[in-house]
Formats: sequence, structure tokens, C-alpha cells
Amino acid sequence: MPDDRLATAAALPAFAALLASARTQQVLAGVSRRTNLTLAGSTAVVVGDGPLAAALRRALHRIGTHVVAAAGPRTRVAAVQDGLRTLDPADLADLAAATGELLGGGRGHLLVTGEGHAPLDPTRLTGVLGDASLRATGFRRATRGTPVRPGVVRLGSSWVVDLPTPLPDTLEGADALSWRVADVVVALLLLVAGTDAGPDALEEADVTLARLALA
Amino acid sequence: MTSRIADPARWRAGRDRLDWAAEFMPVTAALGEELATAGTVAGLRIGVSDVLEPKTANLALTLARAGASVVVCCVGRDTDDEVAAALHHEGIPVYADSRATEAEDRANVLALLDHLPQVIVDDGSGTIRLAHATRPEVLAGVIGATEQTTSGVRPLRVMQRQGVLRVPVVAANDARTKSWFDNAHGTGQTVVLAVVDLLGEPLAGAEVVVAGFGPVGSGVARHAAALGATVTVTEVDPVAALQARFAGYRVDTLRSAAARADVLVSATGVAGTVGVDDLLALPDGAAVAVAGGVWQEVELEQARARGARETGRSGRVSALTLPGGTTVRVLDDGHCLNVSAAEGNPVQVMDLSFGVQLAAVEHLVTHRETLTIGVHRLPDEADRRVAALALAAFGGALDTPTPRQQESLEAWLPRPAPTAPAAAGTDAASDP
Repeated sequence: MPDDRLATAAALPAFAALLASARTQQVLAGVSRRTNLTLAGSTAVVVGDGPLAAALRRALHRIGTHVVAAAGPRTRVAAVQDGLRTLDPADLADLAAATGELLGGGRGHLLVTGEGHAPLDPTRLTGVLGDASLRATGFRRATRGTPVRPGVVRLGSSWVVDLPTPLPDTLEGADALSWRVADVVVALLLLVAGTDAGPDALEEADVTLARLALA
Repeated sequence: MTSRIADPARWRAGRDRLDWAAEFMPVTAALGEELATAGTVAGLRIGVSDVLEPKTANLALTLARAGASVVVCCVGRDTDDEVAAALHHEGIPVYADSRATEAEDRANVLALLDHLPQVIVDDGSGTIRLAHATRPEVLAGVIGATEQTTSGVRPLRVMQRQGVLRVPVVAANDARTKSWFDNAHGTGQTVVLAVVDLLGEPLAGAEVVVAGFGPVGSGVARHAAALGATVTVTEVDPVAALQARFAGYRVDTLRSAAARADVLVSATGVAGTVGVDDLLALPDGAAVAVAGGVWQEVELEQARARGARETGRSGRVSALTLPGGTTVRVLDDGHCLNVSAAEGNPVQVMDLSFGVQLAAVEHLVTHRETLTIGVHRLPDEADRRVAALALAAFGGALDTPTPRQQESLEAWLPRPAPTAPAAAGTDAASDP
């Protein structure tokens, strides 16, 4: 499927919800497993404007994490209605200072989603950082950090968590949840196979996908 | 120095993980400093019997740095060999080997008791109880013990009722700073995300049944619901069941709820919570996990005795085909999932629990002349002290009661009678 069609697919309600939900659980399980740090009681800055950022914010908020939405104004106003604190992306230029204070001396979480934001420089951030994005577009490629434990490297004043890739990267040993993400993607591809993958076909496929998921 | 561990050469990897955990354990560090400065535990022999992973290792190191002679033991199933090696490298005798048999586990606990500990820091009360059962002579020199689990405190209270308990015990588990956080938030997060990890399936849309709505069960329910699961709670206590209903969960009997469960989590800490007939009620493919932490909380042995057999295994997930023909997935053979399939509860949450343990040790030692034999609560003042340290670390500030509030808190007289009404026509009573 071409990139522009992929972008359209990513906006399909059922597909986006299923994909974001599966990825959110993959990310949170990954953070928990890699860091052994608490989510409840901690502060987490979630950077991004799309369905993945929304799913992460929702799950973390329900768990008891103090969620800060770092996003554009429309997402921020929705986040405020949900009782979340927000951070203006304009402050992203000085995110190290902002997150250092927000994240309790840099010991909270910062999750980037790559949705609606340019790749951030992890060397300028503070906290326990994770790239939740679907295409590894959340961070600029970083210089190699110092390993502190399996799956975590220290980079300047932050720690970067190596989260599982959304889709299986090997047949053996891939993160188990990545197969669920793959399931959602492959299901949509099968549903649009043989069509022109135009807006109507995608819409119809999304409704069918929703019905299949509910069943 | 004597130790029984798997491989002393693995200390460096363990050391790295201890350092990582220490970064997030400000409460343990602060209380350790206080113990060291005051010399409270200097020269004392302290036995730490706990799940051996980076946080507990930091607790042992903290006590050692405060001047105590510390010895550590752990059953093989709960031992991280890298961490054991790191502690051994720091000069602490360790009796813990992940390959240990049940008999060797018991020998390792007895080896700890051979060091004649004056204070026992326990998890599950197995060491305290074994000392009573097999080494009563050791108890003569024991100042006291601390116990940090619900399932460990329960038998100690039974021992007290039956008059067989011989040392003072502080029920660290019952401190608010412990049970309201470690049990609820810590175990909730670790168990639910371990379930997601092991099954490789999102919980969104799944029917999750949680047996027990104590602190652990409520935490499991909340984390499962946060990930999009539909949660049903089963309880034997009507008050807890009502709490679950008011928290927004469906409440049902276990047998009825099991019939529609995708995942069943036992969170009671009581053996036999999930019986064979409950297992038989589960749909084909359902998963069963334990968050409580006692042997046979899910009656797997009885199920096998009635003909259930393992028909497949993938890592820590086994397929158990039941006599009726359905197959359920058993996570980590029914062991307590947050300990066995993950790295234990989150670091900052365990920091609170170990802060409570340190406060309990201090209480035992400083009140050794007056503490009676029995199970004691940690004084509220100590509980508050640990919570205040943690609050500062997480980011938060406290009010202090004003004199007016203090006066109100200590008042008992009814409100004084109202004064006589003002003369007619001079106040609001004359308004239309």
C-alpha cells in the first residue's frame, strides 16, 4: 500500500483504535519489563497528536500515572478536558528543562509517538525515554549510550529504553505482542486486497475489521 | 565467607542492575543513612530472607552499610543468580541458587539460621516459621522479625493465637505505606503486564476475572481495566464485594464468572481459591494466573489428580487439558506471577516497602526491651515518616494541621448552645 494510502488507513477509526491499543500494551509491557519502574504515581510526558498518543495517555491515566500531554492545541484542549496537564510543543525546544522539572528530577517517563512531531533529540531530554512510534520516528538517531541494564542505556542525563519493535522483526524471538500488531495490519491489507484501496474501499474494510474484532 | 550461589563470576551484571535500582530508591537510602548515623543496627546480625532481585539486594546492602552483619537466603525459584553473585562480591553471605531443589532451598534457609540472626527480615514468613519448627534454640537470640506479605502475616497471627509464636514480629505488610502501594500498585502493574507479556495478547476487550478484592485484587482489577479489559470481581467478603461494585466492576460468583473468563487471576493469597470445578467452568483457551502467592492458590495438583494433563508448553505458559476436554493456559505453573515471571514489583514501590522494613527493624531494635511476643503493627509515626520521604521523591508537598484543626481533632464536647436571638426587627429575620 502506498504511503499516502497508509496515512489514510492510519486515520480509519477501527484500524487506528486496534493498532493503537495493541501498540500501547506492547509499549507499557516493554517499559515495565525493561525498567522495572512504576507507572502509577510517576509522571509521564506523552508526546504526540495521534491515536497512539491518545491510547497511551488514556491507559496511563487510568493506571494512576500523572500524564502530561505534549501536543498541539487541539489535542491539548481535549487532554485538559480529561483532567491532564499539558505542555506546549513550543516548549519542546527546551524540553530538557521542562521535563527535568516535570519528571521529578528526571526520574519519570517520556514517551514519544512520532505522531505530529518531528524526531526529538534524546541527548537534550531528561527522564526515562521510550520511542513508542510505529516507525521509529520519535527520536533522532542517537549516539550509542552506556548500557546500564538489559534494554536500557544512559545517554547524557537520561536513560533510553529499547522498546520492542511494533511488528515482528524475526520469526523466532520476536516480542509476542508484535504478532497482534501484525494481525491488525495484515487483516486490513487482506480486506482491501483486490480493491483500489480508495477511500470508500478503506472505509468498508474498516467497518468489516471492526465487526471481525467485535466478534 | 560462606555462600551457596550459582556462579560468583556473574557479579558485574548483577552489580549494574543493583545500581539501576538504587537510582530509584531514595527512601531506602535516606533511612539507611539514618540507621548508619544513629548506629542502630551496628554489629547486629540480620538475616534477610526475601525474593532475591536487585531491590532486595539493595536492602541487604543498606543494612550492611549501616553496620549490620547481613546474611541473605532465597528459594531457587525466586533467585536471580546475577544478583546473588553481586551480593556475594560485596562480602555478604548468600544462600540462594536458582537451580536449587526444594531440599536445597530448605537447607539454604537453615544455613541462614546457622548465622544466628538477631533480626529476621522475612517475606512469606517461611524463615520465621522454619526457625520455630526446626531451630527453636535460634529464637532465644532473636530480637524480633519483620514480615512484609499478607500471606506471611496470616500464619504468624495463627501462631500467636495458638501460643506458639516466640518472638516479637512487626507486620510490615500492614503498614499503610506498604499495603496501599506495594500490594495494589506494585503487584497490580507487574502481574497485569506480565499476563500481557506472557500471553502476547492485548487485554483490550478481554473478560478478566479477578478473585479477591483486597489491595492486590483491586490493583489487578484497576490495571486490567486501564488496558481496556472488562473486569469481573469475585469475593467472599460482602464489604469488599460492595467496594468492587462501587469501583465500577461487575461482581459475581467465581463459578459463574469463570464461565466467561478470558483471563482468571487469583489474588487472594489463600490456597484453594480456584478449585478444580472452577477450572472446569473456564472456556477453552482461557488463561489462569496467580497474583496472591501461596502454594496451590489454583488447585492444579487436585486437577491433575482428577485427570488433567499438560498437553503443551511454551516458555512459562503451559496448556492444561482438563477432564471435560477443555484446555486452559496456566501462567508460570500457578506461581505468584509478579515474582516468578517478572522482575518483582516496581523499584519505587519496593522502595516504599523496604523503607517500611527498615523502619520496622529500627522499631524492633530500639524497643527490644519493651516489645512483647506477638504480631505488632508498625507505629503510625514510622509509617508516616516513610510516606513523607516517598512523597518528596515522587513530587508532592504536605500541609501541617493548624492549632485550630488540632483543637478540633481533640475536642469531644458538643457544640455550645446558641446565644439568645437578637431583638426583632434588627436582623435579617425582618427581611421579606
